[in-house]
Amino acid sequence: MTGENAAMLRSLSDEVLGPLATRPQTANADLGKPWDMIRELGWPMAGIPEALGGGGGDIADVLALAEGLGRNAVPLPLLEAQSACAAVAAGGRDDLLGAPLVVETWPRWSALRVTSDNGCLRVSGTARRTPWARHASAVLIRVTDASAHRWIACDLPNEAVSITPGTNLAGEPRDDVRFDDLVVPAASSWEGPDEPLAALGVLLRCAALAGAIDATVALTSRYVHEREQFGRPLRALQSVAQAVAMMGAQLSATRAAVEAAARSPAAANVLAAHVDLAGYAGRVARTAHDLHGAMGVTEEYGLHPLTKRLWAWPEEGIRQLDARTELGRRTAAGGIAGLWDSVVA
Amino acid sequence: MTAASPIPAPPVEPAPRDAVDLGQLRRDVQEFLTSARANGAFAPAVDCWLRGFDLGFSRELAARGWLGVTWPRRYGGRNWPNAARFVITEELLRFGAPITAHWMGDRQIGPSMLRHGSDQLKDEFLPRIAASEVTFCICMSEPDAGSDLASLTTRADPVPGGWLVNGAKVWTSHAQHASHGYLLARTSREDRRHQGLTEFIIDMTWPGITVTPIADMSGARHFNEVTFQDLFIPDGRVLGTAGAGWRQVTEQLSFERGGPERVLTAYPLLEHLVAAADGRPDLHAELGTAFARLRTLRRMAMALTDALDHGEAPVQQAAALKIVGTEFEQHVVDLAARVLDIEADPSDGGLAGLLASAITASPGFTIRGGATAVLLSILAKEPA
Repeated sequence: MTGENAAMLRSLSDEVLGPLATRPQTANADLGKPWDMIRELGWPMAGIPEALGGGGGDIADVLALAEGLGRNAVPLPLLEAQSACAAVAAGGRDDLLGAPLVVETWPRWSALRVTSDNGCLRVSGTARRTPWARHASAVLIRVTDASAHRWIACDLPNEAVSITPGTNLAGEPRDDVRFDDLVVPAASSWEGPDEPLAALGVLLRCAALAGAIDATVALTSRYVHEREQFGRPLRALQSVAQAVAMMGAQLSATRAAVEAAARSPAAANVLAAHVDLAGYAGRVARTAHDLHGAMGVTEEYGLHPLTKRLWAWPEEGIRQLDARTELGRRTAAGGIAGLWDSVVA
Repeated sequence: MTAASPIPAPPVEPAPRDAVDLGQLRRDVQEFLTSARANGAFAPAVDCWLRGFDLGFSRELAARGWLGVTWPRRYGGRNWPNAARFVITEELLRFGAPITAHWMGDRQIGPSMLRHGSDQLKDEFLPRIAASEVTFCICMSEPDAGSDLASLTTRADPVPGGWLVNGAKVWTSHAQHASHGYLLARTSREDRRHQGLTEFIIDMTWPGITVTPIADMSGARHFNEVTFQDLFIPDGRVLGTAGAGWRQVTEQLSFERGGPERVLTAYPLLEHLVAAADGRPDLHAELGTAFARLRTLRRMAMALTDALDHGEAPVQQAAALKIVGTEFEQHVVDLAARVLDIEADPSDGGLAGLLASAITASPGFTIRGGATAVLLSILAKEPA
């Protein structure tokens, strides 16, 4: 896979993921054949150099696939597997690269105590709302302190690990993972000072959000074209046509937000994209439902799998209020002198 | 300033451009502006591209070779990519430097002449725009032709050797300073009102032109009414093709929409917000949100520039940037007014005065270059 392939991957992702969007959105369904197919395509390992056992390709390829997942509202753990695989590859854990599904915990939503003990690490506490944990064959415990990002691999199922299922608004598994004096060899842990790697999960989520926004705008645009009221298509009403046009402008901005972060994926830049995308996601979801009327809130119609993601994803892993505050704190700390450099970075 | 009709894609030639070290160029511009600001050559202003008329300053930029940089060398340019103009322009804007004098010529009249102008026009004007020897005002809007530009009634009737113009233009910024003007007038009555319009280049000193100032709500006098009474324009001053003015002007406006000036107009005020937020955690969330939006919008503007350099004409994205970018600019002004611990005061020479000028300038952000409501109507007619 190469960067020039991003456009091709975009259409391929629609081809592959489109038919999977109709899967029942039940959290306990086995990942089954669809996930096997995604794995056979090598998508969880896209962007990881072939020398490290990955599928090759660059960040544009990975983001094209993540965007495809969002655009098709497919309930599969592709984003989570991609960022976990990147972390696994960085840690040189080839054995885990072949595992059916590896996921990561959210560091900000974890209350964990990690201690070293005689060549081992002991972990106790709970990692809340861990995506897809119930389906995972291993979980990477993310530990972040001021200076470093650390991953601790833990095979599942495990006697010292209990999983309490939960779901997000869109029906995707978000499970509380409790570690009860888990003991793993110290060699199961690795550090990555690599900021972009630590922020990859959020960047992929940004791309998926952009995909979901794209699909929401397209669906709404089609609906107001086809739906007739007052003897003509809805879009003949100027206010409706303008609302759709505004969604289009917001979609353009959405793509730029992802691009700005992808070109320079330091943690602060990715966080900025996440914050900005959340703003567009909220506005687009509201407009889409307004224009769809009652049809948009029915279970049978395809809007809610998209808008539920637009509501759920921006608040996962870090609350928007915290993300905005952190960005503002960084911006204030950088002062006037640092402001412009951060804008163009 | 544009009637609601689909946006034509202007032809863009992906001419091979000379390589330029953009990082070095940025540092050069920053160094010049930092020192000019320190020397008191300018005080950072909001809306500096419309309200900062300083011919001397524009000539300083010209002397450094920073105007008309994308134009061919034979016309006083440097054959640099659009990305180079982007770097220069965004630095000038974020410093709040006085750039109005060269703005219209550098941004739209020069490029329009390059696309449509006769060799004679190009030879006569482009080098002088790049040197900031001539300055342009834009005579488009009329009392009864604002957003609905095609309904303009200023007439240019054919006479031996040229055209005779009668009519009135309004909201013409800096007509009192400009050496030259761009004029859009009706040259024939056709079945379709978008036909029969023609673009002209006029000397503002020609007999038959009267400029009357119109103060805006801040008391500033950039607006003017410009009336034409039997103004004679020689044939050689037709820009492009007589009768094809509508197509040409909508192309010009499509370029006008998508620059960094749709994002950075209020940047000097944002700097004050950043300074104020130090030690004010209650402001951090809103500041962070604004910062995140600014990064996106700046990327959007840069992507448009890159598209131009790749021979694309992304007119819809330009309109999108105009809509969301100017919304952001107004938000910065509103945010500053709400959270800075100071009241807007037009008589003040410091921050209170800057805030006052920003508030009174801000309605213009979403109007000029196509009002948001009109732009949305245009976008609504485009295929999705």
